Amino acid sequence: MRFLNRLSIRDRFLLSPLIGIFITLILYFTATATIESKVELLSQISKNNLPLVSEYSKASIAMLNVHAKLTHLLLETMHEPDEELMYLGGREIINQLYVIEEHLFENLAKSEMILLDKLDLIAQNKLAFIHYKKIVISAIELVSVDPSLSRAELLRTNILLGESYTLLVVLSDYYIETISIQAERIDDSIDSGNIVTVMTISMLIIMIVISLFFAGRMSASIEMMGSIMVRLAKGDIGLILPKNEDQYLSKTYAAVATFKETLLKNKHQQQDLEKVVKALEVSKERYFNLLDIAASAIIVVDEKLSISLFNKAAQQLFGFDFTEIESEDFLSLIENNEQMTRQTLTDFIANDKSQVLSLDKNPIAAHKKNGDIFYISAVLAKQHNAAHKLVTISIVDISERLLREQSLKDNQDQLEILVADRTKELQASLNVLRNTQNRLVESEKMAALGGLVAGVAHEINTPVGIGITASSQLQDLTQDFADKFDSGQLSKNDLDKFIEQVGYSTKINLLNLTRAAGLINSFKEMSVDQSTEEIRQFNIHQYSEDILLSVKPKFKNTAHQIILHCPKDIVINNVPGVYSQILTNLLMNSLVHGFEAVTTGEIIIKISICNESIRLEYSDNGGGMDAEQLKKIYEPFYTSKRSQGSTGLGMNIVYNLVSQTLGGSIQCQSKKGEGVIFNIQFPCNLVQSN
Amino acid sequence: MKIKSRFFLCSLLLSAFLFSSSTLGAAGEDIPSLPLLLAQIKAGGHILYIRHAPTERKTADNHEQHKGNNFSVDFADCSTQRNLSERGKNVAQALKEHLKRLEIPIAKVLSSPYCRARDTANIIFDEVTIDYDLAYSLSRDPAESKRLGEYLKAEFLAATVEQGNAVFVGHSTNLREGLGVWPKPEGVMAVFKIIEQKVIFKGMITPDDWQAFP
Repeated sequence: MRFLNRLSIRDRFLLSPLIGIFITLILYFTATATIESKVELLSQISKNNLPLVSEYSKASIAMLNVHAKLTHLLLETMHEPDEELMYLGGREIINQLYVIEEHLFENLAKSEMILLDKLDLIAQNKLAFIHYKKIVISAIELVSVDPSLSRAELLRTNILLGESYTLLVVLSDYYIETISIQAERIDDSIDSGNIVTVMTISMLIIMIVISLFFAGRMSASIEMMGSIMVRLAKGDIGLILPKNEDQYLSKTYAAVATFKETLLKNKHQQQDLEKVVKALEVSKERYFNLLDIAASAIIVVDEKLSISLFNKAAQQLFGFDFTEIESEDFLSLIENNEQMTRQTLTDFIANDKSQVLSLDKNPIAAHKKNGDIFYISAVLAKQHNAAHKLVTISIVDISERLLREQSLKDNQDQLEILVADRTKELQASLNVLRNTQNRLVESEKMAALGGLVAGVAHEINTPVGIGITASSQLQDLTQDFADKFDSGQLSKNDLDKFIEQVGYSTKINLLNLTRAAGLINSFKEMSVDQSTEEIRQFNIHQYSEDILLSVKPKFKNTAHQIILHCPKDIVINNVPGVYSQILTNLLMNSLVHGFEAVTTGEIIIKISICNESIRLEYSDNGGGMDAEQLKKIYEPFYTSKRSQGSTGLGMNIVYNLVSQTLGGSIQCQSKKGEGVIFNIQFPCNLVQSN
Repeated sequence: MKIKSRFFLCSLLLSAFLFSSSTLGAAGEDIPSLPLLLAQIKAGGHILYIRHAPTERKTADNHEQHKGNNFSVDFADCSTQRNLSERGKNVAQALKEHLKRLEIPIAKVLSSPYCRARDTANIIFDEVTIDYDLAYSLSRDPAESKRLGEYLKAEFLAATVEQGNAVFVGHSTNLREGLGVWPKPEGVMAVFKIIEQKVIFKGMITPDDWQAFP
């Protein structure tokens, strides 16, 4: 049996069926040998064509059917002779005869030759059918020609049908007889098949015995393992394992051994666990002590808000001993408020998602044992691993903080009042400053006017001077002439000379005085314009020329050039004084600031008309400005030359005049060392605003 | 019944009618009167199918199995067949004289190998060609019977009729199978014409009709 112990369970289970297969094979061959002896007889039956008998019956029936039709046709023709109808019916009958013939002859060909009374039964059958067919055809032929022959022909066909039919019946009978003889022979031989029965029964017994043996062998080791497991499970850890001989079950045996070991280990581990639990209890006590040491008040409540822990700090804060307050409702310590209600707390405990709840937005009023009200903020936290839902509430006394906040707020209010007072004062001084600015603007205007006067005075100086010279010469000439006339020495020649010289002098006088008058006129106009902001029509080219003339003295001792590009026919309806002030300021700025370090400066003024607007492009090649200066150019009182008497109002005035008085716009482009460009645009026709 | 199926049925009936009228060679329509028919065959260009003259009523063909699975008579032995009666011979002779008298042009004569057909043909015409496929189709199996009918129709369509009428001497069943016309009685002449590759049946002239023609 060592051989069996070496096999796997699967192989052992396979062994039994293998033996079964082997025995079945023996049985199969024995049975085959027995059956083969019967096969010959069976094949004879099969060859004897039992189905043929049925085919012949079918042929007989078909023949009878066709014959019935023929009988009907022939009798019909006797009553209503018609060749064509006779042919059509006859053709159908003949066609069917051919079909029957084909089937019949096919089946007859399958049969072997059968001799009966020395006659070939198959050949006889064929001949009889052909004869019948022949007679049927000739009957149809004759009757179609002569219907009176119907009856005689019918009789003839009847006889031949009888012959053919009888032969078919003889053939069928022969087959049926042969089959019954052979069936009897098979019955006889089957008795010898008892050997198979005996063999089968004995084989079955052998197989049952073998199966029982294998089943016993296979389960013995497994049962042993099972009983060990049961004993181990019942707690019999100390049992000694019996020796295992089954090689295939060695792993299972090892597993049982391991199981025993594990049980032993478990026992030790349980003892360790008990120790750990004790240690935990100690640690818990320490935790409670720690809570007492903690500075902030800590209260632990259960899910019904009953107090289960109340540390030393809390006892000091509220004035209760733990024993007094234990299992009391936590909310009995709190004054009614919106923040910490029973609802909020129970919601927080029920909600598994939130772990911490801070109630520190507004102070919560609480009361001490002696009834004093004080203010707290609280933070609630859930304890995760507690068997019951416990909430730790950390409480901070914020009464003092509240007091401090209140005093801070008072201070702030005072500060705000101070600031308001200060703002008022500042507003007043700002107003003063504004007034000063306006006055300064005014004085700037007057200064410009002064400049204008100086310029014009200089211009007038020349013609007036010439006038004076010419007049004084005329005075001398007149004195000479009077002296000669008085002395009586006046010659005609002298008279002629005097007249000529007087005419000449007068001419000079007239010319220069006219020029002076013109200058004065234009000065009058400009000065009037500068002091008023009246809208009137003027030629911008002419007016620009006049302005340039008025500033000419300022540029007199320099090599600077002013170039004006302006169409001569532009007449606009605007404030000429303002225009003059703008252009003069720009020119003065170029002279004073731009050309400070430039000896041959060039100013180009381009004036054009565009969409009912005047576009004035003013550029110089002076020192320009840096970005910082450019940014502040329009700021009032901004100047780089305050020490030299600049007010810093010039460009501010220009800006205000362009944007407010003229209703236009001004842009400035400049870079340090690259001159300056002003683009000014204002409407041709200014509508009086008031 | 749905409109669709009604329409289908109508068209089926209509097509069946058209088909039958075309293949049956217009049995009822366009058949000229006998004098007109005679005038037409006098002009030639027709096919004349003559059923053998009257036969002996008491005897029948003695069919036997011959080679090629043909269940037929022995063509060489007239005693195995139903032959012309005396009256039949007279009918044939009379027909010969009428054809001659009326100057009906004959191009070619084909005859069944059966004695009763051959004898009829030989009495009427001088030159006769035997065509074994014109043999009596009654005794043949269904396929062969059909083939002989179709063969006859094909021969009609292929017949040369430029130099007179083409003549076939044969049996009733072949003509019925091939062209749907039953020639009646024995000795009758069925007249056909090929128009646009179709065999058109023009009419029949019985042995008694010939007397009437002047």
